[in-house]
Amino acid sequence: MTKSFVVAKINLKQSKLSYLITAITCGAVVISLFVNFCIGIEDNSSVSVGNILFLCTILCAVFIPTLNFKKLMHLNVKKIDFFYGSFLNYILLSAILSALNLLIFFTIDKLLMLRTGIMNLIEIFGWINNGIFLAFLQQFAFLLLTAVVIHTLTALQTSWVGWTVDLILVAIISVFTPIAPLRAYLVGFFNLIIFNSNAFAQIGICILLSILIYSINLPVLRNKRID
Amino acid sequence: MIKLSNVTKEYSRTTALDDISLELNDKKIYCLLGRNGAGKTTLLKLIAGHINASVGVIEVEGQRVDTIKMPAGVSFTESRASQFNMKIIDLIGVAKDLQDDFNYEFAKNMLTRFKLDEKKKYNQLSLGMQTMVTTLLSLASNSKIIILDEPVLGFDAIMRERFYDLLRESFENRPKLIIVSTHLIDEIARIAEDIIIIDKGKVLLNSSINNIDEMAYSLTGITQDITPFKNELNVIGEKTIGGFTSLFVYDNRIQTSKDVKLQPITLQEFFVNLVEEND
Repeated sequence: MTKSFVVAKINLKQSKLSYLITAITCGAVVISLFVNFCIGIEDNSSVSVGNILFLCTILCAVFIPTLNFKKLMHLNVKKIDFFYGSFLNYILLSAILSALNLLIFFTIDKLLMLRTGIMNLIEIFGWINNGIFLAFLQQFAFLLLTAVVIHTLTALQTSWVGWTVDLILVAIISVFTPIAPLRAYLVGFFNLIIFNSNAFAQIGICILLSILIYSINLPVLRNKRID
Repeated sequence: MIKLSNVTKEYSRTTALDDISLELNDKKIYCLLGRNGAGKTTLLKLIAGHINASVGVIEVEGQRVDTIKMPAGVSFTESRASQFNMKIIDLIGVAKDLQDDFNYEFAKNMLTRFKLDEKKKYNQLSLGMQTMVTTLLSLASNSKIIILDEPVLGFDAIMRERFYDLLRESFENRPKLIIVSTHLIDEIARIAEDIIIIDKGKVLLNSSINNIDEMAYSLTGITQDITPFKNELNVIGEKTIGGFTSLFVYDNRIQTSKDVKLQPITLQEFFVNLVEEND
């Protein structure tokens, strides 16, 4: 387990590209807000910087299995340590970003809301109505699920299985969306993982799905080539 | 320490290794020889747990190799391995954190010995220097089994000499099982103790260098004097120029008449003849 912590530490240190892209995007949003503020546009709505930070989790989930995996293997890291280490990364990142978003929501967003429209997912999804602690956990579980899904999809792309999964996902979205009875299934799924009226159920389902989906990485890693 | 039993590895329709059985038990430097595409890298990756065998069993220190857990105590290094673009000294620090027995002092000493600037970032180094750093990380890991795939690729003559010194020192410091795959046969013969030759996915030979020195030789003479030896000895190659014939033999030494000249052959000549005979 110690090695997994070291892998997580290295992954966090070596995710500078993700941090840079996130920082640039956040900077662009801040500049846009500042310009709007200066020229007096008040009815414009913008996404909260706290939500833009979520980009970091998504980017890390792309770069860790693509860029970091090979390099860690060349440092003689075992695949099993990479497996646990990366999961630790997503747990840590999801917790940090969830906390940061809450902080931004209660400080910067509240201030900006006085002058302009600010959208924060924590409010849109209704999580904040359950109190700070549960909102933190709901957001954390959702971010963890997102990271795990992206990590798994990215890791799968080196084999035909990944392309098949991509096709199935595209097919599900394009077929289920226009047909009302099928759309109900999609809505039901999103209600479970996002708009669930029961916060505990939402947290539990997200974490359970995260573990189940992440476990797909075991057979994927077993056959993954190290070039 | 390493045992392969009836191992076959297939990639789609290509058979990279074909029913190989091999046992390496001693702490010494083994040299793995073979032509391009002979299956050397596949064999090494199977031992390191980087890939699965299609058929057969691979065991390292009595444990069946698993591609998820990967065998403990095995360090595999291939040339042109990509590394994190950080300062060399930081890379050594990371390797130390990842490996329990990592010899930090040995790694630092070697950096100084081989005039590698520890403050330079990995991507700022030449290809040869990068390979040297990667090899150094592997040797400093103090793993019981060290596998080096084409470690001298891209090295000039001086770098190669430095590499052989590094290998020798690391082995003397702490004896271990080292497998080196290379094409520079006669150079590695100076430090390796055993040779494994593979061709077309099969092990052609697994023998000590001393044994090869003893048993590999050539017989040269007028063709009619040489011809009788063809049936008596294990001839691995033949060359006829004018009326003279040279037989390349891998067999017990024999007494020859003064008309037939017996000469030792280089490891490279032995390898070329053995592999060509297999064609």
